[in-house]
Amino acid sequence: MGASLHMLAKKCDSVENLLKEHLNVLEEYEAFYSRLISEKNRLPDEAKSTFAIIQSTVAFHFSSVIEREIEKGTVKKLPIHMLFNTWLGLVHYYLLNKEFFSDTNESVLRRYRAELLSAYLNLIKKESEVYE
Amino acid sequence: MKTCIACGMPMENISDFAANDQGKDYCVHCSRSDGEMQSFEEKKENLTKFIVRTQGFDESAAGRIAENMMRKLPAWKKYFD
Repeated sequence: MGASLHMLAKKCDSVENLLKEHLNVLEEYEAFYSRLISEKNRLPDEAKSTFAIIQSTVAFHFSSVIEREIEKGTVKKLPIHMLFNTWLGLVHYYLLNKEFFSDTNESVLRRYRAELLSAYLNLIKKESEVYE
Repeated sequence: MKTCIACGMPMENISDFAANDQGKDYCVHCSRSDGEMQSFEEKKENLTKFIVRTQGFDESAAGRIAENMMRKLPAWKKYFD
């Protein structure tokens, strides 16, 4: 999972593509990742530390892309950590409440992918850059 | 493909290497402006600041994450033995 995440920013030239790739990686590991975030606080310190390192890798790639977009003027000038935590919070909410968002075994990320992307991008983009 | 001994980042392009030198074992993010590798204390401080800036964590929690990252990397192993 860490290796897949490392490849994110290399091929992503925009925040849209970065978020799509992030969702692709999470969807691939959705069952494992959902369980990981739901049980994280009960895991041994070593596992918590590994989780924090993986999230820091994501944050690194996220910040490199989003800072470029802020400089270009396409994304609102908000603190990087709030932009990152808002995205992660949104995705985690759907994963942790999968039983409310989907009553089948389908991937919640696949089902809500377009809505998650468009809602988040419209929150962070400047008005002239509305994401459809 | 080489990975940085000081942060673990895969180094694919020449611009990923410190001072654009593919002979180096560490990346552009782990080097000083003169191309030398940052010290343990410099790297820990920079990683901690980076985690605070990108994830908003408390500084002491960020410092612990930074140390745990560094603990797994060849460049800093001797500091944890």
